[in-house]
Amino acid sequence: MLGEAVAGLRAALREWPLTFMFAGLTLVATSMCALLLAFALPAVRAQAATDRLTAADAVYFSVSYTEVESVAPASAPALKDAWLRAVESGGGYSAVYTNPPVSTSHDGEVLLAIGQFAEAFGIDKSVWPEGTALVGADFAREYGDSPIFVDGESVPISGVFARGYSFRDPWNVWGSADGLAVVRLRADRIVDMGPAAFEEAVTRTVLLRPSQAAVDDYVAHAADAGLLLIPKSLDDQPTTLLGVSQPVAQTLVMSAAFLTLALMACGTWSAHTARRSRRELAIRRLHGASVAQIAARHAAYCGFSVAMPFGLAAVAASLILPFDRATGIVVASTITLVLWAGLTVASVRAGTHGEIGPALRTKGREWT
Amino acid sequence: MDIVVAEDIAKAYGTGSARMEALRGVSLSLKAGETVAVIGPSGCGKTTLLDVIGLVLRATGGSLEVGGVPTGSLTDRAAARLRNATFGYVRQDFALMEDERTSTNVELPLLYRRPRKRRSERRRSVQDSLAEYGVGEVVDRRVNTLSGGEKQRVAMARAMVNRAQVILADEPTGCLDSANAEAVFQALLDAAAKGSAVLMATHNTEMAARCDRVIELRDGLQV
Ligand SMILES: Nc1ncnc2c1ncn2[C@@H]1O[C@H](COP(=O)(O)OP(=O)(O)OP(=O)(O)O)[C@@H](O)[C@H]1O
Ligand SMILES: [Mg+2]
Repeated sequence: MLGEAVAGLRAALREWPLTFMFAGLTLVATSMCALLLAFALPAVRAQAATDRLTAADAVYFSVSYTEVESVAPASAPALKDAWLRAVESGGGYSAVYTNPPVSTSHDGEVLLAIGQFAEAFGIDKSVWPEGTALVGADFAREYGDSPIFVDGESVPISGVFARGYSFRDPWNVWGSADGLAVVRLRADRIVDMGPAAFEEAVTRTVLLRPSQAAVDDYVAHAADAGLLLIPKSLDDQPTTLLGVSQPVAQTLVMSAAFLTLALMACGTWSAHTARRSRRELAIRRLHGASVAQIAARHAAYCGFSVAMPFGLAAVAASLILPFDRATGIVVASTITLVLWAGLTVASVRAGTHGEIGPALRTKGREWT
Repeated sequence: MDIVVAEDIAKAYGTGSARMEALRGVSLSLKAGETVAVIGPSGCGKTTLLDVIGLVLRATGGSLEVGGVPTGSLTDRAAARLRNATFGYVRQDFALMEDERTSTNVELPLLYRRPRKRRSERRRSVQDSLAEYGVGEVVDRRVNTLSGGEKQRVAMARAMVNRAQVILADEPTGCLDSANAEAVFQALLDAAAKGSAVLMATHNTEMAARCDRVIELRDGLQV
């Protein structure tokens, strides 16, 4: 058996330009798919949140800084009142990500969540009291023990998001929760946290089920403070069925097609090699090689030229994808084993189906 | 005891309208040391008969025992073992791996034999066997560089290398001049003298007459 496997490896090596081409193709295609998936999966995961926000007719805003001399928004008391109404009584929410008054001993990212944030994303508020943080899986692993200070106050961690948990962020800056700490804060605390944080909170406000009058009112107050807000709805964003942005989805489909083609090419090549060597395999069987011994030869050949590069890429991919690592490795190895077994069975069948007699009469080049 | 007992063997190729009955009830038995010739016109089923006996084709009717083992429901592995342990094959088209060296080809029966001999012993057996047929010098040549006659003698050397109990020789002298043909035929007689059974398909009636028995086929029927 071992001898047969070595012969299979030698065959793969003897055809090294092809073997390496297939190995390379498989590797590139698998890695491409994995990388794209790593981008796309959080968006896919965020679909439920998107649906919830869309159902709530969420309105968000983009900012246009046209006024050269703007009034500092923080110094406009009318805007403060309007904003507090919007995110507290008005059923909206907001977040501060870029300018949070946060200090940590590390550079893990912190998001301040304000207003109806938990409701908007369907998070159970009983496990997330105000003034505490829910953290992503990576954040928990890397910085779980270090304290987070918001505006000088220590924030306890009350829970961990499942790996891959994603928000739907209209601005696409804090989609995946994996690397984040999300601190739930009362809105009025933001008002006192300085102009930068407040301005961000005003612009990143999302209104849920607002009346047209409420939107107009909010925009008018912001405009008075020098902040030109343009209301937008989530429907304006190009999304596909999966909630992935269109270019990402297109590239994903294309690289999946590429991967399929690469694997098909490998499979076709293995089967072709087997068919081509049908006569030689028949000669070996004539002299006492069993199909099992021939399968060992094919398994080594297919394993080296296809399954191994695919497996390496798939396992590497499972490390960057937003899944639980152990599960990822198990899934990747299972797919690889299934692929390997499938290829081996297919090429053994192609090389040994039927009786030996007719196979001896076929023309064909030799295996090794 | 008979090494091979074949009764009422039938073999059909293909199905439906493409069905072709190559053997229609052939019976024979082989004893150790016996030489049996199979003769008949081209297409009468000589190669098919040798292939069925040699477990290369499965009979579609009748029964076949090899070494006392009924072969009707052998597993692939058991059939492979039995082929290796019982038969030496000299095929009409030689069945050599053309891109491989002569030594690799002749080593095959030893390679799949259980228990397997050591590499050095296998190498010596291969060289001895080739030398016996006067082709010792081509041991490291690739088969596709050999002449037809050399290939035939290499095929003989491979069939004999395992000291097979039964030698199935399909036109073993077809490509040879009369002197070499006689030498090869003599080698088959020698093998029989040492205890192998020899079943030989041939068009050479003179050689057939020198065998212990002759089986004549016509359109798949024994006459
Ligand atoms: N795989 C096959 N499929 C269909 N018919 C076949 C097949 N192999 C052989 N035959 C047919 O079976 C018949 C017997 O063939 P076989 O090769 O046994 O003849 P043969 O007696 O050995 O002839 P020759 O003396 O020319 O070698 C022939 O008519 C042949 O065409
Ligand atoms: Mg023939």
